[in-house]
Parts: sequence; C-alpha cells; structure tokens
Amino acid sequence: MNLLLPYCQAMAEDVQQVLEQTAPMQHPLIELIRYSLKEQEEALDKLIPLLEADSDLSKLALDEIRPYLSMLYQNNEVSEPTMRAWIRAVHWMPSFETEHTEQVRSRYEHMREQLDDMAAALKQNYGQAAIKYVVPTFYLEVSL
Amino acid sequence: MSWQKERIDMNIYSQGEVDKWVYSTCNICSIGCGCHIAVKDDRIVGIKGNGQHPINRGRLGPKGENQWYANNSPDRLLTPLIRRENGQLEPASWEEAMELIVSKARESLERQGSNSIAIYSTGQGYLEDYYTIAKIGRAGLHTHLLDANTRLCTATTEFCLLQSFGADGTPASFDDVDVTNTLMLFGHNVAETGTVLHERIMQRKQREGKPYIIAVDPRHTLTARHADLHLQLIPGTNVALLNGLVHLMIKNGDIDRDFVDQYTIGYEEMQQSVADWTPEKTSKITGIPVEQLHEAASVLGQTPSMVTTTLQGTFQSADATTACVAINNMHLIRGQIGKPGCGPLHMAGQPSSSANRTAGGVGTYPAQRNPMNPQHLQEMADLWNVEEETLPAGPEKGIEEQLDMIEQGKVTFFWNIGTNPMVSLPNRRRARKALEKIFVVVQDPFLTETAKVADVILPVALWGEKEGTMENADRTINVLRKAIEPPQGVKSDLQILIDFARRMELKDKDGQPLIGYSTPEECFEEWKIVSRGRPCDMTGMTYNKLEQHNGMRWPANEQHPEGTPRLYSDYHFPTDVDYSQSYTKDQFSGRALSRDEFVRKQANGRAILHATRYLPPTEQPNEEYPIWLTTGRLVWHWHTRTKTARSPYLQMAAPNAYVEIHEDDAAALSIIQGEVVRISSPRGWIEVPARIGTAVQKGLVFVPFHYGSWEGHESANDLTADFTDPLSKQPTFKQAACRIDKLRKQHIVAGEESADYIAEQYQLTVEHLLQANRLVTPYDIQSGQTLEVPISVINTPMPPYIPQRG
Repeated sequence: MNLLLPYCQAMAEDVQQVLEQTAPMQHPLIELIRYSLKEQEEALDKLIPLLEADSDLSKLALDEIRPYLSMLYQNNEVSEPTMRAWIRAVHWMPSFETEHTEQVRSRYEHMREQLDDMAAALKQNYGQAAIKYVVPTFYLEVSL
Repeated sequence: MSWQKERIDMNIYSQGEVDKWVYSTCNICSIGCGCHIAVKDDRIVGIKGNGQHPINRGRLGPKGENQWYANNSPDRLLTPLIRRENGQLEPASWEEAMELIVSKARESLERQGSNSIAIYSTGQGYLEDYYTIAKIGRAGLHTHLLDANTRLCTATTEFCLLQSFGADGTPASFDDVDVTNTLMLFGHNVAETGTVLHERIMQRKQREGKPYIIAVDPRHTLTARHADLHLQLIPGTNVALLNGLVHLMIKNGDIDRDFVDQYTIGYEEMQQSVADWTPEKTSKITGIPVEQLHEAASVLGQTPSMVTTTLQGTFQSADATTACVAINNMHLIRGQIGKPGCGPLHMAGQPSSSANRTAGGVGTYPAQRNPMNPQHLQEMADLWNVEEETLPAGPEKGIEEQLDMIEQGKVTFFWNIGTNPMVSLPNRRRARKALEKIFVVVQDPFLTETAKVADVILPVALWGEKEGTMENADRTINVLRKAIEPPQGVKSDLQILIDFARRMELKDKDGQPLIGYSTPEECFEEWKIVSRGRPCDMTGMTYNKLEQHNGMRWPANEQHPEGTPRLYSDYHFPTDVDYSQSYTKDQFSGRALSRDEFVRKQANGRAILHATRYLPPTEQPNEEYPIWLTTGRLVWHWHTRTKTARSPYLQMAAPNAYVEIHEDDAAALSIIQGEVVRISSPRGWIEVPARIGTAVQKGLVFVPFHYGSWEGHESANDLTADFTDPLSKQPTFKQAACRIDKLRKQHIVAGEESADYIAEQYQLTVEHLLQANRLVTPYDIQSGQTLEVPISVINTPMPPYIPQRG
C-alpha cells in the first residue's frame, strides 16, 4: 500500500465529517472553513485514486501529486487558525454553541497529525529539497 | 506640489541659542515630514520642520512637534533588566543580559527547532534594523516567524497590492493627491492620523475647490466634516459598499474597456461578483441611501482623475483585503492608475512600517521576493552566501497565528522589538496569558505595559540618537541623522542585533560572520545590492543623496535616478511569474496559490481583477451585546502613547480614554455627559467616561485605543476580538459587539431634600440629575423616591486641533 494512502484516507474521513457537521451552521468563519474543506475534499478525491493505483511511493513522481498536496497543506494553513477563531467565537457567543464544536476541534487535530506524519513520509521519500515548496516549513522539523 | 509656501513649525525649549540643527525625519505617523532636530549641550531641545522637504514644506503635526520630550524623559531605561527568580525585573549588565538571551535562543533552537523562535518588531524602527532582522531571522536562525506591529497596521496594504499588482508598493503618491480631481478617503481619518497631509489637501481645496472629497467612515469624523460627500456606512460593510459602487459604474458604462482588455485579467469573474449588488441591496446592507450611492458612483465613474486612500477603517475592518482589492478593481476598470492624479494610495500607520515590509523584516523575503518561489530564495541565498535549503519557504504567519503556536507550546522564545503589544494587540489578555508562558525579550526605551511579560528588557536609543532610513506611506525613503549620542547605558536596535548575531556565532557558508557590517550606512549599502532589479530598487540612493533630495521614492536606480513619483505609468505590472512577489492567494479564503495555479492565470505583466465576495463581520451585535464597538485614534496621541504621553502638552490635551456614544443612545439609556460607564464585551470590560454627541452613528460606540495601563481599566483592547482578515491576517479591531452598563448608586430622597441639594451632594448639576433619572423638572422629585446617581462623572474636553494656521 502506498505510504501516503492511510493519511489521506484518514483526512478524507475527517474532512467529510466536518463538512457534514458544519453544513447547517450559519457563521462567517464557518463559510471560510467549509470553503477550504471543500477544496481539500476535491484534492483528496483526485489524490487517493492516484495513491491507490501506485502502491509504491518511491515510484510515484512528486509532480503528479504536488498540486493536491499543495491544496491540502495550504488549505490547512488557513482553515486551522480559522477553526480556532471559530471556537473562540462560539465561546463568546453561546447562541452559536453546537454539540459539534468539540468534535470539529478534534477532527482538526487529527487532520493535523495526518499532515505532520505525511510530511515526514514525503521528506523521507523525496527529500527535503524536493518538498520544500510543497509542504510548509511548519509541518517539517527544521534544525540548524 | 500643493504647498504654495513654506511654513516652519517649531517647538523648542532652550535657554539661549541652540548649538546645532540636525537633519532628520519625523518618527510619528506615516506621512514622513522632514525636520531638523535642535541640539544644545548634547541634549535634544526641540524640533522644526524642514522648509525644503516637499512632503511638508516645514509643517509638523502636533505629535511630531512634541515627540522629542520622550528623549529627555526621566524614566528612560538606562540599563538592561532581567526578571529574577523572585519574579522582579532587576538591573543587569549588558553582558549578562545578552548572554542570557543567547543561551535561551540556543536552548529553544536545540529543543524545538528553528520555528520555536519568533521575532516581533515594529513600524517605528529603521530600514536597516528590519533588514538585519530579516537576515538574522531567516539566514541565521532559519525561523519563518518574523512579524511586526505592521501586521496590526499595514499588512492589508501589502496583501491587497500583491493580489492586484503582484508586488508591494503603493501605486500613487502624495503628488497625485495634489492634482487629482476626486479624492476618496476610505476608512482614512486623515485629519487626525496624518494632519500635515490633511492640511495639504485642504489648502488646495480652499484655493482651487478641488479635489472633490468623498469620505467613507461609520463615524462623522473631522475628515468627514470636510468632505463633499460622507458615506456613513454601517460598520463592517466596506465590501458591500464597494460592490454596489462598482456594480453601478459597470451598469452606467463608466469603464475603460480598452484598458481592461489590454492591461488586466479577471474582468468577467469580477463583474459576476458584483452583478447582484443593486443599489437597493447595497443600501439595505450598508445603510447608505440609494441616492447617495448613485451620487458617489456617478462622481467616481465620471471623474477624469481619482486617488483613493485607505487606512485603518479599511485595514482593521472585516473583509479588509477584499475591500482594498475592490478599490484596486475600481481604479483598474476605470484605467485610473499610473497617470497623474490617479491610483490607489493605500497608506501605512507607522512611520516606517512600509520599510519593514520592503526590507523583509515581516511577511515576504527582502526586496519583495516571493517566499514560495525557489528562484527568489536562491537569489537570497546567493546574496547572503548561505545554502538555499536552510531558508524557510512558504506563506508567513501573522502575530495571531504565532500566539496560537505559543499556546500550543510550539514557540518558546519571543523577541519583541520596539513595540508595545500588551496595549496594541486585540483581546490583549489572551496575548498576555500566552506570552507569560515563554521567554520574552523586550527592546524598548521605556518600561511599557509589555514589561509585564518580559524576562529581559534591553534599553534602546530613540529617534535622534541613531542613524538610519525610513520609508513613508508613499514609498519615499528619508534619512535620519544622529543628533546626539544615546544616554549612557543605552544601545541602538541595530547594535543589539549585530551583537546578538556575533554572540550566536551566526556565519555564512564560508564561515564568515553573517552580519558583516557594523554601521547603519554600511547596512544600507548592502541592502541596496539586495534591492537591485527588484520593484523597490534603491541602488540609486545614498544617505547623502537622500538628504540632498529631501527623500526619494523607490525605485531609484540608473533608469530612475531621481526616484519614481508613481508606479505603473507604463501599465506593466509585476505579475510575471518569476518576478512577482507572490503567487497570490485565494481571494476568499486566503489560501496561498501554488506556482502552477498562478501560471495558469497568465497575468504576465497585467494587473489582476478579483471577485470580491462580501463576508459579514465575524462578531456582530446581539441580544447580550447589542451595540457595535469600534476603536481608533486621536489627533493628540500616537499608538500606545509610549512617546506622546511623555509630552506634557499632548498628555494634557487627552489624558484619559473615553467612550463616544450617540446622543440618542445616551438619552435612551439616560447617560449623562462625562458619566463613567462600563463597556463590556465577551472578552472583558472597561470603565470610562461617556462623550455624548453625534460623531458616532446610533448603535455604535467608539473607544480610542491608545490607553492601556494594566491598572486603569480603560484599554480598548480588553474589549476587541482577535479575529483576523483571511488574506492579510490583520486583526479586525473595528468591529466587535459590546454592552453599556451604567454605574450608579441609589439615593432615597428625604422629606426636606431639594433637587439642588441632592445634586450638590453628588457634584452634579440639577439638569444632569434629572437627565440621569429621566425626569423633566425638579418638581418631579418626590420624598421617598429612589434616585439613581452616577458613581463618577469626568469631564473629557478634547481641545480641537486646528491644522490650518496660516
């Protein structure tokens, strides 16, 4: 099985769940979050079949999966802080409180773990230099 | 130039003639007025405007005239301070303080990697400081966490320019303001934040009747009072208004189709995004009458030339970057850019925040290089003689994201240089809680509110005590000469940074010291090489030339030896893939686009029109907090008052915070003039006197943000929400929800007590006593009745500043 596949499948599950949980919500930050999640969903829909078709990551050219990886990481870069802002907003305005608040937070934490682990796998397979402009620095261990 | 004659504003306190006047630039707002510093007996004793400087021709604003008092303030820090085990800040030697900083930085790097260190600087330093921060931060520490107070102040300027034009640098300049037919001041209260520019505008207005001024502001500010048309919109509806105006301009056929076809991309998508913004819909959301919308659209659509300025009313509002992009769209569809009297002029708040953006101390890489472009990072690696792979890539993180990272334990070392975030950050108590957990270095001339979270404080030189350059709001680089030596025990920011690099043994790939310069001018010469060939090319500048020319606007190079008053006069925009400062971001979500996505846009030198989707403010009035809260600035103070509160004149003019309440709201709540009320938001509360009037609209209150002592309960940022714009990551200070509560005690009227007697007991007027109790006449007061009495009434007169004195 392709090394990246379990991470992406887990992410797809998280994305799907958060999209379902937030569907009835009306809030400006939720609009932003859902916009990013939908882009991630589209990226995963294209990326997962590629990973399923090619079980050996070392034989899969980075260029083939780069656009989808970029979409996953860069969307997480914007939607993760937006999610945290939404949690604060909910706390401040109890009328927004929903049973899903904690679930959404938990899903995001899980997504972050997948992205961190996937970054390590990408680095190991393609090398730091190759993925530097795909995976943001904050997902990679950087040392002097 | 608009000034017809010079007028030398001067403020000196000297017994006898001064010893010398030293060339400098005002270090307060972003206008960049030329000045000379008076020196007597090795002390700064005054200031006068530079009559030759084209920006001000000798004029100075009230804050500028009084900035030098801070230099002589008796509470200047003269030695480093270290927080000891007893929790107290105690004096220490420079050696001990610097070694502690170095050991903590090393520890952070070793334990948690490069991105565990954050440097948060300022908009009040010099370009040389910022460039050095960029070099140390990126090439030395390899951190991607470089941010500054500019995030709170001008980040939106940068990111709206990247989105529309591919690079930072505001297209129009003050010269264009001088000749334009129409000036739209969008969320820009220039009368209070840039008094000299306002005077310049109004002098021409009096002389020529031009420009036609449109002010967009939820408050009826001094600026709005001088406007021909004031669009007093509901808070948080800037994009709605702009969409409505662009809709009408398109409908009226007021577009330059040839310009759009030749020099822009994205028209169809942009047009679709405003298609349903009819005047009726726009009016419903913005609160602006349909007739006014038509009037504004007609002026903007027909005017032969137009400059639009923006400041915090746009930058610190919901949809900040999208609003500024909508303004860029408006100029582009009218072809009003790159021509005399035309173009967006997105301002800055602080005197050198633009320099920080340009030099790479915040956000993108130095000289407008794209942190997503491998070629640009390779250029930087070559220029700095380091390995490219060590330079961090990708989009930046703003201060609010950095606070998230601190809360998550990812950042453990925070270096605060020349700013006071414990007053200026939104929801400041959250920020304090975060910063208390980690090692914090504070570099400041004074013990500010941020000292509460400091582990080490380094005393630094002020304006006049160091040399360097600043960039103002219209790309002018000005030089500031050193007038006097800093007080004994005090160092400049640049000296400290260089010392840090030396102690950290930061080296290039040949083993040479990473920082090879030792003076500001040597640093500037290195910076010029870094800027070569980039939009901000400064290779044609020297310190001496900057003084001789009284400032020069970049680019200034062989092709433009005198500098460049306005950008894009050839209608070529820096959107070529490998020249652009950014691959741009998704205009709605802020996601950084990949290189491939940017290539597919095929901008290739054309400006980019974006769809401008309206997203309402994150927090809005509701049942519990039914009133809009907005925050802002006063003419008498600057930023967190670190300097202006040390001027007796300025402090006397505006000693306290207050809340501005509309007279109808005050009447509905029976609040009297000067009554101390509690303003609460979901974050906290303050207790300040009420100023009742009509400057704010009904349902909105205004609190100046300058005041923030921990003891005073008057900090606007105890109330504000820490939500940010998705693109610029600038906090939305201008919109939050709040509640007004009266602070009253009860008085039971005894049989013999008259209204006069009761009022006198509480130092009230009878009128106020009646008003506070919704009574009409003194005879309405009956024995045994329970009256409400305000616990405190503080008169808050605000002396008017009269900018046009002659």
